[in-house]
Amino acid sequence: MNVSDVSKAERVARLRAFLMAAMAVILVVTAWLGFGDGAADSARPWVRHVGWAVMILLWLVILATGGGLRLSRSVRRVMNDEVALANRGSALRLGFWTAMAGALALYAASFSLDLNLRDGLRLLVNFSIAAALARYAWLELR
Amino acid sequence: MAERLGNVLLALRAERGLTQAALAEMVGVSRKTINTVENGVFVPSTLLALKLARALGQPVETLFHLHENEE
Repeated sequence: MNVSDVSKAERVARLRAFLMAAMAVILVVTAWLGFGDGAADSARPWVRHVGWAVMILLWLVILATGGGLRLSRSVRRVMNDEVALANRGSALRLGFWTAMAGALALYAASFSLDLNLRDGLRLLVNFSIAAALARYAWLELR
Repeated sequence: MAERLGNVLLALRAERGLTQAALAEMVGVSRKTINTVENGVFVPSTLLALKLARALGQPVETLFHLHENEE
């Protein structure tokens, strides 16, 4: 382990946390703005749907692995050390409970609102991942 | 009875003239990890505790001790 690896890992980890915070905001804003589009979505280009799915999968992979897969093993080891793993665990737990609470809220709302399945799923996924990303960013940057 | 892990990491590191960054490099973790362990925010694994002890040339029980607080 050399100094440049440790400082590079810290730099990348900080950048990762900033990106996660920014992505959390983007996910919440797009979920909010896009809500209600579900019924009209079928007529929209498939690129929009695939783009959303790819973006979600990408952030799920980053949440699961810590990202930086193209970096050297020693840099990734420092980026994903014990504290980073503990922070990620905490973030994933919050994401899970946000998903559960969101699912229950949508279930309850479905009795009084005419909810589109696609709208509901997008809202649930965006908010859950945003919660996990925001929690991770906050724990890393505090 | 609430228990928490105390440590003398900061004192031992300072005694040896090591910065957090230098100790982090020796152990292979980030500076943030050293900082959170020193401040008692993060309880390290046995593996990390042993690595810290080896880097500072002390037995692990010298570095860490239990604080027992009556609640």
